[in-house]
Amino acid sequence: MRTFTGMDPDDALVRRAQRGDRFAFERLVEAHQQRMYTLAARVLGSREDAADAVQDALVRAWLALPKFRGDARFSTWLYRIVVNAAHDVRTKRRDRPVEEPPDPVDPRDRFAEQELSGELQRALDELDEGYRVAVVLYDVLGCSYAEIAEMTGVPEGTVKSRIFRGRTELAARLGTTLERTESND
Amino acid sequence: MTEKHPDQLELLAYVEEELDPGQRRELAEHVAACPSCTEQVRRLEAGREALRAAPMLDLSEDRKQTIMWSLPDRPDRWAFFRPVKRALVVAAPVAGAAALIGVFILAGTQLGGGGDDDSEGGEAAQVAEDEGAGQTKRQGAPESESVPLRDGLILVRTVQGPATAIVRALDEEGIEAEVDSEGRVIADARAGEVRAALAGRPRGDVSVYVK
Repeated sequence: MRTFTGMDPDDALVRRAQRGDRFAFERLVEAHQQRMYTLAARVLGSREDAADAVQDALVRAWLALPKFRGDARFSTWLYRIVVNAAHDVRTKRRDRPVEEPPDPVDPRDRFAEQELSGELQRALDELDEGYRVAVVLYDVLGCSYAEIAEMTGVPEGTVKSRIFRGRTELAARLGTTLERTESND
Repeated sequence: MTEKHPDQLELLAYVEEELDPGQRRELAEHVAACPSCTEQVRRLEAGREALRAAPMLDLSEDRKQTIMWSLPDRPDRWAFFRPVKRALVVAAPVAGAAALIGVFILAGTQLGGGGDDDSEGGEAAQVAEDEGAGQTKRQGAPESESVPLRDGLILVRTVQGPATAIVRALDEEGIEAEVDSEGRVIADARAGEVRAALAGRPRGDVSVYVK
């Protein structure tokens, strides 16, 4: 059943990439890398893990693209793969015995690392993964309830409930952090 | 104030301004008089503002390159053209050339559509003969060279450029093109359009065929 109606701006490039055009796929990657990386980084709280998740997602997307039927927007399909890849990276990370030493980073990565070490990220990291994914998709990436439902495989009502809980718990944690900081001063 | 507290979805819809005016007015009255709901709304808004202030992050250029290089080969969907590529290497050797890349005009329905130089084999070969020797490197007699090629692919001309440059040049002219899994450029356009789009642009060696 086709659930997405309307023009997908990625359609022409997707069709070319489906036929094996790496140049077209590279343009799709360029168009979506920022949102994919932001999604993975906010969900995982780690620059390196996020880059691994995006790489894994793009390899999966490249291989699966010929089977993409256009039932949803390409971006919705792609971010769903990122969500799954991030989940897999998180699962593997739990089994990682010792934190690997960080690779040398370029300035843009260093900026990303700083962004991921703030109060917001710490509060996000404490949320249930389902809530975290929902609020990042909705409030950071600006996805609709329907798109998030499509990406996460749950009903729209559940998406809204997760956004409600994610936001309110986040605010409570940020408020707690602020109160703790103020009381320490 | 209404007795019943709004549920989570109603409060979210209120904060996101998704309620109709009547519902919104009623809920606003409740929230204004209910400390518990006021706090829930405050948290919803505070969480939203914190998240929406978060900047977008970029992958490093190095990582993007690594990712593109890490893409595995897919099963070859263009195996059909493999004999053509072999024929091309035999028929059109270019001394010191980089990889030979064929540009094919695939729009079979367009080819018969009455363009000057985009009909079947004979007229396609005529395109090659019309080319000047300066800008275009002829590969001998096109029709005889075309004999080993399958499905009526006829050599039109040789131009120069890596596959991505060819695609970019065609793309700038509004001609949809792609690089297939064997590094050849496939263009969906008429021969004349491709010839015009590539005139004097790319460097490197590539042979242009029409079907």
